[in-house]
Amino acid sequence: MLNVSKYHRVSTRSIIVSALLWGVGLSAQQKAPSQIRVNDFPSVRGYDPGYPIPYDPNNPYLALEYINEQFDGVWGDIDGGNFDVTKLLSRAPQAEDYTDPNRPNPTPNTPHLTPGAAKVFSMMRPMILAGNNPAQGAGWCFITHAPTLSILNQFAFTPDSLNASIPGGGGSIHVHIYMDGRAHPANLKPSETGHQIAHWEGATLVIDGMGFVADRDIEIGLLNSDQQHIITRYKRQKPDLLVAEYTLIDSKLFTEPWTTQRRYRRTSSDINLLRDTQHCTANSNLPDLVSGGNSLTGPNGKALQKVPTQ
Amino acid sequence: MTKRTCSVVFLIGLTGLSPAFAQRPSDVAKVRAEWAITDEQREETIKHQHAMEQDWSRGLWVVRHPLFYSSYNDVNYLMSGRKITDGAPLTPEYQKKAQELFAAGKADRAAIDTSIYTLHLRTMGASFNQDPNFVPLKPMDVVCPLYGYPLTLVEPYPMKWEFAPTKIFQIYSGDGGIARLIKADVSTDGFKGGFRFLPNTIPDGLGWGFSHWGSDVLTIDVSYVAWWYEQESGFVMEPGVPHSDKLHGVEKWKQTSPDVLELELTLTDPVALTKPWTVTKVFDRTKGTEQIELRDRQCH
Repeated sequence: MLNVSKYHRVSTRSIIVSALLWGVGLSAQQKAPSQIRVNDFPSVRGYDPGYPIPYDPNNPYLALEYINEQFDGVWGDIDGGNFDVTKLLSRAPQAEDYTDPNRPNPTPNTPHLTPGAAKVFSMMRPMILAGNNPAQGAGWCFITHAPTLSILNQFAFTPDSLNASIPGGGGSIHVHIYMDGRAHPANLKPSETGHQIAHWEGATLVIDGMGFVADRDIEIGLLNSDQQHIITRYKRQKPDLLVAEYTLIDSKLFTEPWTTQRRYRRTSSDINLLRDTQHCTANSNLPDLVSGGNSLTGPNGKALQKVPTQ
Repeated sequence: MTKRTCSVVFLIGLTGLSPAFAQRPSDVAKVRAEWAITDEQREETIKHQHAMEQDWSRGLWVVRHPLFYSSYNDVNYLMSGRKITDGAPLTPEYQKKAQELFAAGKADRAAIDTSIYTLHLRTMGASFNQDPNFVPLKPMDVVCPLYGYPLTLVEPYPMKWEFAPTKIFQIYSGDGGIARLIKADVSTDGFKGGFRFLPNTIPDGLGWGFSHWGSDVLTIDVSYVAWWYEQESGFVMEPGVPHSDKLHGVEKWKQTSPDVLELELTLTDPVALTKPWTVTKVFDRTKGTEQIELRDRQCH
């Protein structure tokens, strides 16, 4: 009994000590929130940059204004260069044949294509190598969606949504991203900008998009299917440096999710990109019927550079 | 020259520059009026404006008697050639342009009717899975209407307001995903924000808009509007009425009842109009549209 009792006492003590250690370990792993806020707008709820932000429980606009200031301005891509669809998300040379698993010196982190996608890519690759741009989006009016051609980004948070620009979509097309906690609809009708919802995970903005129209460029020569699902994780690493990590899931296109990254630097807070200046019809971005590429002209009628140039 | 002499010369120089820094009496009056408001009053005003913004953001708004500011009620009426008395007061030069546009519309209605404007394109590249019979360079037509400013304000599709602290969006379902971005809490009269356009500002299909609240009225000031009506039918004041790059619009939005907004729009254009053209349009909040999601279309 004594032994049992002694054993029992020891056991209790060890349980208490274990619990304390577990508690300490847990608190080390799960960082306490920098601030408890009870009256945030949905678009600010959960945002925690690691320090307390301006907050007034009676005025949720204070925190909303702060979060807009943090993401204000124009964020320019520092990895992709200027408006150049030949700068691939994979950083692979244009001539690289994704469909050949035995190709020499494969670029790391290139997508793994399904047989169906490889067939389409094989059809498009000769056109790319011939100097034409067979891309659907760029051939029409730069119809596409992020991460493609997300050269310049702009964000504006309303109380329950994020309104962002999608440059490249015929200029700068507006996308409305719901942050009110709703889920994707069950019967989603495909559209150019899809259906996008977002929430905060600490300092990271997680955007979940699906319901995209098929046959838009992911990168030149690589088209998405109607099953495309994109998870974007935006985080400001420095005040003016934004990192976007894109995970592309597309069961018809990729054999496994493809994750790629782009970095953006804040270039200005004076320019607004959510404009219609480059509307496709105004720009007459009609296809060049001889080459199959673009015949791009600006509003002044001056010819723009064809893409790609090689 | 001694230090004292230098100082005197410097001070005299400053005196000479002083007119450059002098404020206009109207600016001074505005600043004084702003300072006369107590912090409590200012806070109450902002709260009231926020409440209005949240209210306007609910649901979709549809304009009564769309597409026209004048008493033409549809494009057929316009194309019938019957004259009206409340049309835009065009200058002789722009009356001639309007006649040319009318003649072009007679030959091809798409030249004047933005709703049937069609792009004649050819298919490109390959299709992944949408069209198994896809053929590259096959001719295809895409109906792609665009409503430029100020036509977009009266386009016959629902519109949604979205208010962010420094920006306002008007999302137009008809244009499909195209949103008019308006910088908020800035006016172009040098009072709030003191915004000045750069000389190389690029005209935009929807213009550049700046807004500020004044009591219950949201004023939006729009300029640098694209005028490419020769290329596409949407870049006009209303169907058949061209404008120049000097178009300037001042919108005054006011809520006249819980589900009704009134817009008083004053258009000035020293090249196209002989005098300012002031028109009023009424918008109704459509019932049961709070949960409707605006989705984009093919035309971008």
